[in-house]
Amino acid sequence: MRKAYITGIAMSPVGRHDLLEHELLIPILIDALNDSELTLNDVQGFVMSHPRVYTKQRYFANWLTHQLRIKPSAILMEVMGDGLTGALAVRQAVQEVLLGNADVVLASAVSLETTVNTDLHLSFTLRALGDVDYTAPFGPTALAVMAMETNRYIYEYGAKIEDLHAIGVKNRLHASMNPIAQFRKPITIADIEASPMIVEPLHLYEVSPRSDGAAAVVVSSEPLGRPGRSIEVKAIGFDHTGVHMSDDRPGDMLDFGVVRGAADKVFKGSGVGLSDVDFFEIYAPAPIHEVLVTEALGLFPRGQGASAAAAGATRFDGLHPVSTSGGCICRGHPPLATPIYDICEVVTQLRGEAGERQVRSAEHGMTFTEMGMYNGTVSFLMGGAER
Amino acid sequence: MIDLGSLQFLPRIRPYNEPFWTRLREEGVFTIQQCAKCGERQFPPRLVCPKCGSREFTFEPLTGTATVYAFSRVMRAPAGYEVPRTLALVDLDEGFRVFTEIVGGNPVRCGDRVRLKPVPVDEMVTLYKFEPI
Repeated sequence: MRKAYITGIAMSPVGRHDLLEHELLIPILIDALNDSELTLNDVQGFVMSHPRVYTKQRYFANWLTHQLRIKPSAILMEVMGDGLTGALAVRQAVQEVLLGNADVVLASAVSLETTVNTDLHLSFTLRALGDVDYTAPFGPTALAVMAMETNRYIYEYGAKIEDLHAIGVKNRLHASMNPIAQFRKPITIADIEASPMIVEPLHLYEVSPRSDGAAAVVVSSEPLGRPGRSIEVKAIGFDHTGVHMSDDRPGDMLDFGVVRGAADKVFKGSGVGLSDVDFFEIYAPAPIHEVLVTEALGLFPRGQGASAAAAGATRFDGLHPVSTSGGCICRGHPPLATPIYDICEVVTQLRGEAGERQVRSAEHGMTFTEMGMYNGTVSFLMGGAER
Repeated sequence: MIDLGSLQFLPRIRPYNEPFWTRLREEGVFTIQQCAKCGERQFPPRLVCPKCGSREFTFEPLTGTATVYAFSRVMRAPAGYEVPRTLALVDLDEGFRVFTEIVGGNPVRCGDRVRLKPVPVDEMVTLYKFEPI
């Protein structure tokens, strides 16, 4: 049976880049290939996140192959799945390798967010966020929905808002040890409370910024390069509820059932169980999503995820480390690339190259690209002994 | 590029959803689309019944009273929307969850009771906002 390994990774620093998309992305593609000791000539497939509508060059992936003289004889495609996009790009690359269509596929994404007017950006996201006829007229934002979840969580469980703020503090701690993170200065709960309110009860310092960034991974059918640095993709799970934002049939918005659905598919047949997973990288633009994903997985009882995090359980040195990169909130959030950054963080940890934020004895790590009320999840399980 | 001045999104009123918008505007009632064949009720109105595939519907009036399931007070919104504003998911008494805006100035919390407050936008469109009871 064929296997798939991530043999090379590269990421730009997250933040503001005064560059065009290809100026940011191309050096990252070369770095990822160098990391797996390959060259552009070795690339048989090229998959990337469909770039933002603001990108001047359309059919960008095709154009890039010409820029780089890549010959993607196995596959060339841009994928799109809103917040899931970067994860779906890597999933596509893994599938091409597992199907035997290619031995080396490059998966990547570039997000340029800071050059786009915020009003224009919000108007575009508005059209994806809810139903354009029945939700958009009220002017929702993604953070407004996460604020609703936060308020409901506090209402149902009597949770303390300070415990949710503590997740922002934890992510700053992680980001302070991550050289590519956007916000690296450690902060306190008081700093979060003193920062401007964006959507009650979420403050500026505990929500994701709009960030620029590019990330790439090389997916190969065999371990490559120096021993121990190729990380097996053991399984990928997907699940979806079939609901666009909020369901008209009232349900429990605090139960991320699709997280369990995706995780069940990952664990089925992989020989790995939840208790074998040493750390988690979670797509969480606000603290509540770390809480709801960890509770959905059963790492903490329902209603106790926030207090457990506040007690240190999700720190890099805690029982269940979460988002050692600093996550969307502090590493930064270039949305099309964020899931690939998350995969790169898991690879970095499993290689034992995470420096000060290294999780001890890390053998298996998972990503959860989770869409909250957009109701889809992609999860990667990586690691194991074969490298 | 889209003209930023026209970015407040208004619903597209089409034959299949027109009874909902017309009765909201003219009668001030919130109606639910009900399949004439199998009786399935749904919001928002759909082109076909997802349960039986029928395209024949009636629109049945609801009480317009609801309970706040979740809310947020928004301080930053897309161009064309005033802030601060309160967005909410409300559960209609007949068992449908609706994304809406709460108006009327009073702060709301989860569990608060609210009622329909039709708010005209222009000659064609009235939106279904809610206000505290």
